[in-house]
Amino acid sequence: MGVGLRKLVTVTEELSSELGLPVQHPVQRVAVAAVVRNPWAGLGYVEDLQSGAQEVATFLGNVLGEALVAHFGEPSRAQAVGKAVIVGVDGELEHGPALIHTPYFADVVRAWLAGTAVIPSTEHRAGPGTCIVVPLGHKASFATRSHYQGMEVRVSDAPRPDELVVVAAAAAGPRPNARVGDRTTDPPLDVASLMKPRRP
Amino acid sequence: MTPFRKMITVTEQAFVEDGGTAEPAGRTAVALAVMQNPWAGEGPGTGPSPSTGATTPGVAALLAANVMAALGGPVGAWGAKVVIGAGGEVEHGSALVQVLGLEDALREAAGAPAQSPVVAERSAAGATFDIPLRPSAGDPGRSDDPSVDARVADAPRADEVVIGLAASLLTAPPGRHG
Repeated sequence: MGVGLRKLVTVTEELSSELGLPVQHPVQRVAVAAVVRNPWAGLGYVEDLQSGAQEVATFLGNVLGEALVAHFGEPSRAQAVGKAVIVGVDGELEHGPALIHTPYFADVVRAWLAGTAVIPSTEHRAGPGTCIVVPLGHKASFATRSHYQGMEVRVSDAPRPDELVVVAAAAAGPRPNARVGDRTTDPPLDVASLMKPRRP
Repeated sequence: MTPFRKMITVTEQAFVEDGGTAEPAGRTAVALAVMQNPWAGEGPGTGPSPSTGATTPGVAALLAANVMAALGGPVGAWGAKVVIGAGGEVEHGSALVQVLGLEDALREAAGAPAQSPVVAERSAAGATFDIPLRPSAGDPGRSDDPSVDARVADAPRADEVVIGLAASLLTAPPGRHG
């Protein structure tokens, strides 16, 4: 039956100024969205979502991972990575995670981009044309604060009710003019002293 | 001042359409630039002068190069759109098309001398807008083409414009209405 890939949408974004001033480092991001048939469409409740996931997830991990690398030229230029899925309205929300939270998808994307860290993600069920913000984090060191960022993606005619939109995104660097420091630069903090009940 | 705040490209490649195979695959590319409206806040009656376009050199050529690179093949249909932020006039869009040389830039890049649809509207950041596509001279076989839509989440601000160039591949799935 095949994977049922209907379309691939690639979005690139280059941001060069903020509030009228050039940014320290132009921000380059790319997202690739694949529109595929939901492999569990029309089957009702399926208890075991593992056995049906491997073919589609592996295919998508390779298509999206390769496309991201192709945009940057080499994996080392991609510093932050993220993923997302929108399930068409006739599917079960769990169908999205069943594809993207698997080694077949996530490990393959991570390998294409030479990453090591957990890839942040978001999962949604919605109609065609819904915007989804893909969360990105540093591909090797997830707690790197400067690299948390979002990239918006939208496919005007997908997902149809029986489809999935699966997205992988990457950024060449941190947020524009990122300057909120990191754990190493935070002042020493006694969290317990900050916890004040609003109603004593 | 940089000539633009943000450049975006969106490329859409179709593989199947309603169960059939789109052979050869259809491909549509949109290049968007977010930039200052050079006449924002000047009020009505202050005629935009062509020389103002000199403040943003190269934007049209860059857009054309981006859309052609994203398309990766000969142009079958193309069109352009200027979205003006709330602090500008629709007339500023028409003026920008002229002073930026939008039509010439794409014509030069695409070798597509056909009459082009270039339209303007005033809208808000995050609004979805259509970019019309019309057949290029290289594709005499079609009488129309679907438009594409686009959206920039944070633009245009009131004093900005979004300029969009769109093109579809010459080998897009053919129409079948005769």
